[in-house]
Parts: sequence; C-alpha cells; structure tokens
Amino acid sequence: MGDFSYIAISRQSGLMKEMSLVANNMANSDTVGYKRQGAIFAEHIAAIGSTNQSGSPEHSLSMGHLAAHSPDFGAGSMRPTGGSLDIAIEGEGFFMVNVDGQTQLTRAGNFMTDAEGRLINVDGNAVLDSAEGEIQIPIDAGEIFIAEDGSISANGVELGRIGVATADPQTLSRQGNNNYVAREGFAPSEFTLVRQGYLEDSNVDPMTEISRMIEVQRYYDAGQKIFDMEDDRIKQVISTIRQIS
Amino acid sequence: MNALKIAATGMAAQQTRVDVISNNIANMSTTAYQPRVAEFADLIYQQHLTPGTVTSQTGTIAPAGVQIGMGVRPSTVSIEVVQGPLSATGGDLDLAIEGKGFFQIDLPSGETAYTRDGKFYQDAEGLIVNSDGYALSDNITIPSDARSISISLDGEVTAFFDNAAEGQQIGTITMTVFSNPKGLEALGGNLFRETSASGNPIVSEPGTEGVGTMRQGFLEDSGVDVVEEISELIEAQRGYELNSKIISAVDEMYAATTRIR
Repeated sequence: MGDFSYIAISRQSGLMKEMSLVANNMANSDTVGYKRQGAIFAEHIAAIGSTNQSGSPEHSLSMGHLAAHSPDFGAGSMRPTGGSLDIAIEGEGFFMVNVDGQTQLTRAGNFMTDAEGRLINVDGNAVLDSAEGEIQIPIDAGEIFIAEDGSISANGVELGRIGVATADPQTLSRQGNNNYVAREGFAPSEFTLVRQGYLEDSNVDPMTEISRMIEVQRYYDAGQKIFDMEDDRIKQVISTIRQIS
Repeated sequence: MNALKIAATGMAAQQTRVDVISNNIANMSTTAYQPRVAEFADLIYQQHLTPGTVTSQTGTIAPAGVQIGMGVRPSTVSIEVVQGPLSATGGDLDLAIEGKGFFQIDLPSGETAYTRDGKFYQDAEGLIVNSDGYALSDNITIPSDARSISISLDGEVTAFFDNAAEGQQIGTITMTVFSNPKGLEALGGNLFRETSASGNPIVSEPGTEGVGTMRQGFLEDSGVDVVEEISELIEAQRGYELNSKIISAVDEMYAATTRIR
C-alpha cells in the first residue's frame, strides 16, 4: 500500500470518529447539563524512509487525524421544573459530587435526598458544599428554599450551602453520568448564582449537529472518491508497464 | 461501528421518554397521580487520547484529548412530587392532602402501602377502606348509626349521632412523609411502597410541619399537565428523528467504505 492510502485512511477514520462525536451529541440532546463536543483535526507528520546525517528524515508524510475534541461549555437553556431540589447554575461553574471518595464536577442539578436526608444526585452520590462536605436536609424541614448563592434554608433555618466550583473547561475529563474530573484542580466560586426550580438542558443544537453530520458524510464520500481515483491510477500504471514490457 | 450504536442508544432513550409521557397522559384523570419524568445521563467515554497526555520532551500536554462518548442512558424515571389541584366532591370520605404526606394502607399481604388517593369508602363493617377494599392502617370503623362524619384538618374523625349535638371522636387518620418521595416504588393502583432510597416512613400527625393538612370533601386531581406532556412528546419525537438521521448517514458512510476498491 502506498503512502497515499495511509493519508486517506487516517482522514477517513478520523471522520468516522467525528461522526461518533456528532452521534453522541445528538443522543444526549436531552441529557440534563450535557455539554456538546466538537472535533479538531491536526496534521500529523510521520518520518518515512531513510534519515540524513543529522538524523532528520529525508522524507516525511503529512496526515490529518482527529487530534482533540473541543468541549463547548456554552450554557444550555433553563427549563422550569418547579422541583424544590432541581437546581441550575447560571454562568460558569459546576456542582461538586463525591464519587467513590473523589470529587467530580457536574452541571446536572437534578438532586434529591436519600434515606438519611443527605442531598444526592440521581446516581446516589453526595452533593457537596463549598468545603466539600455533605449536605444534610432533615426530613421534617418543611418547604425548602435555595437562595441564589446556594444556601439552603427551611423556615428561616439555614441547612447548608451548595458549593459551586470553577475549573478550566479545557482540563476537564469526561466520566459519563454527567460528571467530569478536573485534572488540574478546581476552585470554589463565591460569585456563581444558582436557580432553584430549574434544570439546565443540554446545549446541543440539533441544527448545528445535523449540518455537521452532513458535512462529515460529504467529506467521507470525497475521501472514498480519492481511493477510487488512486485505484484507477495504479491500474493505468500497471497496464502501461505491461504494454512497455 | 460506534456511531450506529450511539445513535441507537439515543433512539432508545427517546423511546423511554415517550413511554413515560404516554403513561402520564393515560393517567391524566387518575386521582392524585404524580407525573413521572425521564432524565438522562451520558454513558462512559472511550479515551482515545486522554487529556493531559505528555506530547513532548519539554512537558507539553494534550490540552483536550479525544474522548468519545458511548451514547446516553435513562438515569432516572423519577416521580415528580407535585400538589395536584383539588376538586370539591362533597363526599364525607373524600380526603385530599395539602402538603407532602401520604395515607397508609394495609395490603392483604400484611405490608403497608402509601397513597395520596383519598377516595375512601366504608365496608360492610363500617371500616374505612380504599377503592380496592384495602383498609386504612389507622383502622377506623364508622358506627352504623352515625348520622354524619366530620374529619378535621389534622385528621381527627368525629361521628355525629342522631340526637346529640356534640360529636364523638372515633379515631385519627395519620399521615406519613418520606425524606425522598422520589425513591418510592410504585405498585399501581395509586399505591407506593417504601424502599431503601425513599427512607423509612415517618408517621406524623397531620397539620404538623411539612406533612400537610387533610381536606374533607375534596379529592386531589392528577398532577399531569397535558399541555406540558404534549410539548414533551413532540420534543421526544424530534429527538428520535434526529438520532435516526445519524443512523442513515452512518449507513451511507459504511456503504461507501464497502465500495473501496
């Protein structure tokens, strides 16, 4: 197989991966607090053949491959639910949840209380306050009111305060279950506002995803055409050689 | 073959949502029905290039990496704990709860079930039972010679007899609250059962904080908001279509792949 094929294959498999990203965005178009992903292609240079005296390759091959995803942390629209423990973050920041002893970040604010009255998310992980401690809401607390600064109160008694952390979105690693791990740490934020009775919808825009989908499909088709053309070229070379000999 | 499977999880999720919506709409006239909501979470990510991977000898790292999600799953179908509108029926044994509480019902199996459906009857012995004939756990028997029954906001049941102006207290209907009513298990027949997620039932006197009060002569209507459900339905249908578009697009890509010479 010639160099050409490697270039085309890396491009085509990158496009397949991008299609998976589009499919994942689309599948999560109704996931609470989901943030869409884009894809970035980069040039990948590989050395081929012999090297010269200084050790650098005499020939190199440039390939385009899928190098990174570009997370889009734009806000999703706010959906009023009326749930007293449904909370949405306005602006940047994340809720903190304790997953097996590790603090993970999430924008999904569909919380509830468990049998012991702890504030938890839908997977049963404790929601943390700004000091990364658990939040306790007594069962007989009555009507729960969550202020914009995250403080939870019932009948004028403050029960705790939901912590909001900020982290560089570029350093977040996706874990599934709406959670992220902040590789380079996060810092508690004092200025982020939360809204009780709202959930943040997914920020996937179907229009953008469909047009990306069509784009990827067309590029892929174009890539296949190049394979065909290369095939024709090789065929012609072979038949020419045969005629000469 | 990822994209195909991912889109399939998307279609399955929307299907679940439609199932939940149709059950809500079917129960739009069920007494004290609490609507259910399907919520989703993304599935695990395949780490093709973990963010933070070192990319050079000088210690530069890949800022974002390549993480490809595997689709979506329904994370919960939770009970939306809402107060349905009350409608006046005038029935002596029609009770509506204004607040977070539940009535307790003795199941034939001996277990206790919980309900907000306050449509009660009396059986041949005068015992207060629900529409399936299961007794209210408070075990209140209405004397056959009682002229009328009055139930106060805090659940006290008083019977009035022919000649007496003063009534006679024959029992108290208690209520139960749960720390997490979203964690209750639905049994059908408007009944719920406690689970380890809902927490232990806390029996309380009606009228105390957080439990709510009892309204005689009213029933709680279904909490389903039909307009909201219909718009959700349209959204779910569009979501389904979008995911099916991915399937046909990927299909065409694979068709092109198999044509490679």
